[in-house]
Formats: sequence, structure tokens, C-alpha cells
Amino acid sequence: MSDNNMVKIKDVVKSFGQHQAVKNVSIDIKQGEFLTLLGPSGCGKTTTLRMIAGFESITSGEIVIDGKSVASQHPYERDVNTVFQSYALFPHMSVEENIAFGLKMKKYSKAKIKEEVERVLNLVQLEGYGKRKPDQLSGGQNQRVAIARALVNNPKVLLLDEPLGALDLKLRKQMQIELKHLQQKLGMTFIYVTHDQEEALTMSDRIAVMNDGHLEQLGTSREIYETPKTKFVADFIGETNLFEGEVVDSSEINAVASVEGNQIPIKPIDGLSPNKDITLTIRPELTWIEGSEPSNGKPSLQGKYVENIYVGSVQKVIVALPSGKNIVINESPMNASDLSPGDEVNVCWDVDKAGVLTS
Amino acid sequence: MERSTKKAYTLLSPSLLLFLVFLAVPVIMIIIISFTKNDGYGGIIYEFTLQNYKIALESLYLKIFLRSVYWSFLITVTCLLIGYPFAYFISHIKKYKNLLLFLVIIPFWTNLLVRTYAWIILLQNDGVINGFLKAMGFIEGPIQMLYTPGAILVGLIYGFLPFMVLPLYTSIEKLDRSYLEAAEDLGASPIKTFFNVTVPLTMPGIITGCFITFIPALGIFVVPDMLGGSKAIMIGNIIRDDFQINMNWQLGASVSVLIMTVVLASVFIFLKLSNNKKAF
Repeated sequence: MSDNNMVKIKDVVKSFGQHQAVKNVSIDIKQGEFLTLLGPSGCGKTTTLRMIAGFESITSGEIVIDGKSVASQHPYERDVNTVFQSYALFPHMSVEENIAFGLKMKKYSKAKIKEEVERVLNLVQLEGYGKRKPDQLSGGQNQRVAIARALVNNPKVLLLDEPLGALDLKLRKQMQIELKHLQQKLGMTFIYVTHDQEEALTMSDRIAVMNDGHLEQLGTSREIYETPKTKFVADFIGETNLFEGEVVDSSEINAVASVEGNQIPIKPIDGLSPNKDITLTIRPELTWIEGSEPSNGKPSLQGKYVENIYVGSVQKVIVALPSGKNIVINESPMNASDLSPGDEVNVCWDVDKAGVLTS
Repeated sequence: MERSTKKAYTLLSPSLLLFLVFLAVPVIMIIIISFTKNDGYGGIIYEFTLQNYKIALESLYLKIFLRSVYWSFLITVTCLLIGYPFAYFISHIKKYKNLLLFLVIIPFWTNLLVRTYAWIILLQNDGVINGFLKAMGFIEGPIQMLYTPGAILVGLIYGFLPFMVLPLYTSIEKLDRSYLEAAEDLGASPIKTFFNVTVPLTMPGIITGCFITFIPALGIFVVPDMLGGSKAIMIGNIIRDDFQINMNWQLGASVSVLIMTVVLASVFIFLKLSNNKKAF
């Protein structure tokens, strides 16, 4: 393995009849990386994972695991293991028997199996639960058993298909951190599927955002959030305000676009030219409100204050622009607002904090 | 709570009454008769005796009884071996699923007697099979098929197969496919997956299918009568003869009670065992 890539997904296509569920997806996943496939339901992320596991055949393209193309391998021949969304723990077996299943299939000795089962039970903090049946455990405990059952086989890649989806919010957050620590401790390659963008941002080394079968963007959590490359990614990850606009003037050091009828300075990125259509993405937490137009040349949009929504960690200020479009500003909940509906305000941001999308 | 239990019993009373009159009472009567004396002309003398059981356990009866158990066992196992792949197949296909299920159910629309006559037409010396083989030149004279133990077995397997297939289909259909994927994911080949996961998880269907095949097969007398002639008889024929021909209700009743005891005991032991293993 010269290039340090554990899994290579090369131009993979999956068709179900006329419908293309996965369209020419290519991702290289490094040894020891935590990669998340993120997207709305039906975007092809689970299908991609199932192709890596071997449950779905590849229509065209290639998947390489540890230097070997796996197209001809059955799931039981592949050196990967899956944590299923429904856990799929065998109900007729105890926790121990469930975990031992994979090792039994590999014909490990009884003593070795016992030792390994103990080891992973310890790893997922379920010592003493070995004799119980899955229906005698809570959802969170079953979740740990499912992870242990996969991990005990020491796979080259662990595939996780929305494994935390069935847990309540608090337990889910706790398990996210635990899973991440487990992955770092084991140095194992994890491929994780989720539709929860916050979960993806929390856990992943890199995120592959998928939409409608194709890969929208591949990058670190920070890259995906701060510099989305497409409108879909900007909109799907976190909250944002999107504005259509047209470039008026551009040079290497500055650019101006017409947005909502205003001439607004924008970040001078490559490929801008007059009359080009752009989309401006402005995060609510990177904007603020001023009473008068900023004198320092910062971009701003004028509108009328509508309302203030308190959501705990932040308060969302809604401002209506003359076009009727609303813009959302996140403010600290500490700031008491003295605005009343209809007041004229200016929504401001830093030029380089607003993303400029050309596609 | 009290009221709803009362209400439930009120609502159940018609079926409870039916159950009492047509099942419990006859069974109790049979048990009582099995301990009475025969007046020699078919009449019942209400005096306690164990004589009937002594005769029922004599070697002739015991031999036929053991043979019936053996045949019923053979029929059950054969039905399971044919029925399981078939049920598995039906529950895994998408097209024609309903059609195949329909074909399994169709025989129930016709009386077993009529369907057994059809087997006579197929199996007899100048029947369809012999006629075909003769016309094709495979045989000179007819092969004796009707009135052999083989004919009984074929007839009974045919008759009981739907009873095996339906519960099997139900439990295979219910089986969550993700268990099979999980097994495969953990390195189990399809054969290992089948024996380690599919079979244990469909055990309820297997047990039900085996019971509702084995128990009626043990008591049946119509099919062995028609396809087996007078030579190969099963315990059901003995009981029928004692009641209807020999006018010895006491003997027929005692054999019935013995069969009931054996069946109930085996069901009890089997359920106990499978419960202990938690095979549902």
C-alpha cells in the first residue's frame, strides 16, 4: 500500500433499473481516517456504504480496499465489518455469542475467542453483560454490542450506517465523542454514514457531502463549513443566508456585485468577471446589526427589523429586506434588543466571511 | 380490571360453550369408556377395569402404533425437507409470490377424500402413471404402486405439505433480512448463515409445521385405508375398526387415550426443551 489509501472509490456508479442512485463518485480514504458520507435521505450515501460492504454490486467503476479490487468478493470474504442502523444483533444469541460470531466463523480457538470477547466488552464498557440477550439491554447498550461485534474482527475498515440514529439526543452526543475517541485509539479506518450535519462536523476527519447520487464536496469539517463550494453544501451544512447576485466589477484585489439591488463588495475569488451570476452565502453568526450604514466600507444590507427569536444559546434576529426576503442574524442571548418592528437597521459582515459561489 | 375480565368471558362464552360440548365432553367420555367393560355385544358395562389397556399394549397393537409413529415421523421430516426450500423460495421472490401461495392453499378447497381418489387414479395398475410408462415402452406389465406403504407415504406427504409450508412461509417471511446481512458481514458463508441464523430464527415456524403435520398424520385413517388397502394399516385404522366394525369401544377408546398421552407428552417435552434453548 504505497499511497496510504485504505479505500479507493473510483468513479463508482450504481443503477437500480433506470434510476442512478450513485453517480460517478470517487473518494480516497486514508488508513486511520474517519470519513463521513453526509447527505439527505436518498442521496446515495447508504448505497455507497453497502457497495463497500459488498451488499450491493457496483454497476461501473471500482472499489479498492487495501490495494485489492473487491468487485468479485462476497461480503463474507471482505475485510470490512458493518455496524447496522438497526444493529441487527442476533436475537437468539447472547451478547457474548453475538460478539463471538465473526471469530467463530474464522475458526478461532475457544480460548482465543473468550479472550477477544472480553477485550472488546471492556473496550465498549459492557463488562458483565456478556450473558444477557439483546432484548434485555437498552438501546444504547445494544448499540455498544453492535460496535463490539464489528470491532472484534479487527477489520481494515469499519462501516457505520447511521448507528446513532435510534438514540436520544443526549446519549447520541455522548456516543459521538466516545466513537471518535475509540477510532483514534484503535487507529482504524471508519466510514460513517449520517444525515445529521452536526454529527458529521463533530466526528469526522473529512466529510464527503453527497446530494442526489453525486459527490458535492469533500473536505475537513472546517473546509466544508467555512468554504462550501456549492450552494447545496452551504445550505445543507449549518444555517446560512443565500443571496443571488451578479458581478459588477472584479479585479485581483477586490470585487463588487449587485445583490438585492445594492452594490456590495465581495471576496475577489478566481473566475469572477462582470455579469457573472454568483450566490453569496452569509452565515448568521458572522453578521451583526448596526443602526447606521458602516462607514468603513464593509458590506451591508438595509432592512426593517421584524422579530427576535430566542432559542437558548443564541437569539435569532430576523430582518426583512426591501425585496421581502428575510435575513437571519445570530446574536448573543445576552444582548437585550431595544429594536421594535419596523425600525430601519443595517445588516453587516466582513467581506471575506461571506462565501462566493459561482456554481 | 375485574369488569373487563368478566366482559371477556361473556364475549367468549359461545366459543367456550362450543369447545366444552364438542371437545372436552367427548374426550372425557372416551377416557371414561376406556376404563369400562364390554358386554360382548358392543354395550358398555360401567365397571372399572384395566383390561382394555392390557390388550392395547399387546405386541400387535404396539407394533402398529410404533409403525404409525415411525411413518408420521418420516412424513413430517419429508414435508420439512420439501417444504422449507419451497417456503424459502416463495418468501424470497417478488413476482408470482401470491400465485404460488394460492397454489399452496388451493388443495384446501377440495376434501382430502376426493384428492386421495385422485391418487388412486394416478397410482392404480391401469392408472395414469402405469399407462404412461407402458405407452412409452419403459415397462411390460404394471408396477404395483397402489396398496403399498409407499402409496400411503406419498398420499400423506401430499396431504400434509401445505400444513408444513404455511407456518414455515410465515416465519421466513417475517425474518429481518438485516440479520442475514449481518451474518454475511461477519464472515459467514451462505450455508453457515443458513444454519447459524436462518434456521434458529425460523424455529417457531419449523416447530409449528412439524406439530401440525405429525399429530394429524399419527391419527389419520382415510388415506391409509384408500391407498394402503388392508395390508398396511396405521393406528388410526385400528381405532376406527374397533369403534365401527368390532363394536369394541373400550379398546378403541384406550388406544386413543394412549395416543393422546404420547402426543401430549412429546409436545410438552419438545416445547420445554426449545424453551430452555430460547429458540423462541
